[in-house]
Amino acid sequence: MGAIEGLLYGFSVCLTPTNLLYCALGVLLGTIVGVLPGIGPLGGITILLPTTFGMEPVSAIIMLAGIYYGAMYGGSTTSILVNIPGEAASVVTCFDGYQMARQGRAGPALAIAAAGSYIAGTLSVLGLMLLAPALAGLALKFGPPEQFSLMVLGLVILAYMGTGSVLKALMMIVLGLSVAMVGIDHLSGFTRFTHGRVDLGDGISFLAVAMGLFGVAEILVNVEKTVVPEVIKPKLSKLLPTREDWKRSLGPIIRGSGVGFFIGILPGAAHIISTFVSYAMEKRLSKHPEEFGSGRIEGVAGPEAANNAATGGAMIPFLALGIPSAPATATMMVALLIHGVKPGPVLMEQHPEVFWGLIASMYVGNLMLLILNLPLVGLFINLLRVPQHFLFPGILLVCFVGVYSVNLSGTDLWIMAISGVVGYLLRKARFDPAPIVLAMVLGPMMEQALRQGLMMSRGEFGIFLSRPISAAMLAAAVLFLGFHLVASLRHARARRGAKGAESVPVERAASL
Amino acid sequence: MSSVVAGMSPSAFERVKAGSVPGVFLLLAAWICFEALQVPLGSFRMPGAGFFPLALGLALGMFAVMLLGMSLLSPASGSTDAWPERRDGVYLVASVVAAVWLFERVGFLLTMAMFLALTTRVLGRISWLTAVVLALVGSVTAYVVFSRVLLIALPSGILPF
Repeated sequence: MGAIEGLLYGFSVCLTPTNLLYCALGVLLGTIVGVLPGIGPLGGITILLPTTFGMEPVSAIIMLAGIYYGAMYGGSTTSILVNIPGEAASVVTCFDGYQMARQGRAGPALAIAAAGSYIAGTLSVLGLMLLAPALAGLALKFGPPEQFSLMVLGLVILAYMGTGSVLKALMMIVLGLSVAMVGIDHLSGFTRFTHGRVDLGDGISFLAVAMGLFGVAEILVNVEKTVVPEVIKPKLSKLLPTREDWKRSLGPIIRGSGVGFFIGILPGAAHIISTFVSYAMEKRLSKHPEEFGSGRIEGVAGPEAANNAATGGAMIPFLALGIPSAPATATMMVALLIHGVKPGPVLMEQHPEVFWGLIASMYVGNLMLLILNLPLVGLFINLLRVPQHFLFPGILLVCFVGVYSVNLSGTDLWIMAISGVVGYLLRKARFDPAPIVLAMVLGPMMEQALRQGLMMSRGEFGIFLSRPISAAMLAAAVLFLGFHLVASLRHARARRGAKGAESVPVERAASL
Repeated sequence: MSSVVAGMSPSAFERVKAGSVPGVFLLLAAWICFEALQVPLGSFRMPGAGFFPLALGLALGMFAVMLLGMSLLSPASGSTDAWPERRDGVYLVASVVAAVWLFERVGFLLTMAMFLALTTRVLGRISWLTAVVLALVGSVTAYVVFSRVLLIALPSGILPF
């Protein structure tokens, strides 16, 4: 099936009343998730995942993807009107968006953010449509050694591109891989880490861990904050940007789309990093870089386009290779696996309705978001007025129902509660628990690929280096770690030079 | 957490505090290795069930040692965020644990009513009467939506439904 033919088929799947309804529901819930500070797209997808169990696989993935990119839209609203990013990818939008709002230009800022997100979302879907089939064709040639090396590379980039310490991210990855080892080893039949508990035989529930880490723990972190947001009300009559606004925004939107899409393919916090890269790029290209931070519309247009385009990019490894590159897409992959659909190179052949239906739904969903977001901005912003003492218990109740409904197991509830406390303590110790979730999904695949690779080579590790694609990926992983080590050492040396011998306390260690 | 243990200098105390997190990970790594050794390791030709977990345990141990080294070199790298003065989080954790314990024993409706009443009261500092009324409305609504509309199986516990 060619790209155009596939897309037309996708529209025939997506434009059925049921799927349109789930698409609308997904983008609406995503916008709400984006508006509410403290619940990111990952938390939103995780909490709402159990509601998709009764749906067709295509409807489920359409709704979950809608939540994912809808959250990017919603996050910008609170950044512009309240100076509180609804989720991490909207931090940069605060810089100029809030300043525009203070100058009485909240309307154009919101409109450009929405239009930029729409254009970027659409462009990234185009990229996804063209790149994913090509990549899937290549992935069919991958054997266990290539798969293992690809996952190693992905996890190293995840740690490298993360928002905190690389060493701590690596520890979280190993922790997630270890959690994935609990249960029956499907190659030998031995049970591991279960201590005889039958209910752990199938492993630790991904959903219970994810809900604990991103539902319960997020709430525990957020109850410590007592922020009373000051909301700037936009005048809807002044919503439309001027011709000058459009002229200044078009370039940043196009550039932001490209940056976001390609960074989005990479593992890690791509949607967050892409916004910073886009902002820095626009500042560098501007004739008035000194005005950035005081209400330049380019500072809103570029990053908003970038974070939306990144969602399309992030879908590529997940759909084409069956190897998610980000925690949010890992959760979507689990949703598909629960429905018996395995993402990967053969997804397009075995389940074309899922692949093309999802792509078509992203076009439709982006249009829905554009229509929804501007007229309903007043309604969404009122969500910030819902008191936390009603919101948080409500979210926890949904977590309880969601986790219990999967296996009807009280053990899963205990796992959720324990994961919540662990997630809270990890955040306190400045560990980002997001890599745990991705590693939990990749763990069984990675172990199987390693063991099969070694069996193929009769115990020779050289098989991972003698096959060109595998060797190239492992070399890239080593290079990433090498770059990081060299950069850290240089940074430490520079600090030492600047502070003198007395301040040797290498703060750079924090970034290692 | 600002108090210093008697007889220990502030810098030594900071180092012990900074080393506690890597220490926990070291213990965890040791436990993973121990558990991995309880199942056959196999050989490189035919890796067994313990092969990959052992490698993970060793990797975690190595990373923990590196973090420990950095924490001792610079306590800032191993420091943790401040603990909150308000104890809402502790009450919330206690409520979640209690709700998990009661969920299958007492049933969804009663457990969630108690959970919502307790958490809205603690977090919102609202009166008990308001909290209980809101909790009853919230739990019954949730029961109708999840159990009756979405047909999700929820434990009835001591109630007949």
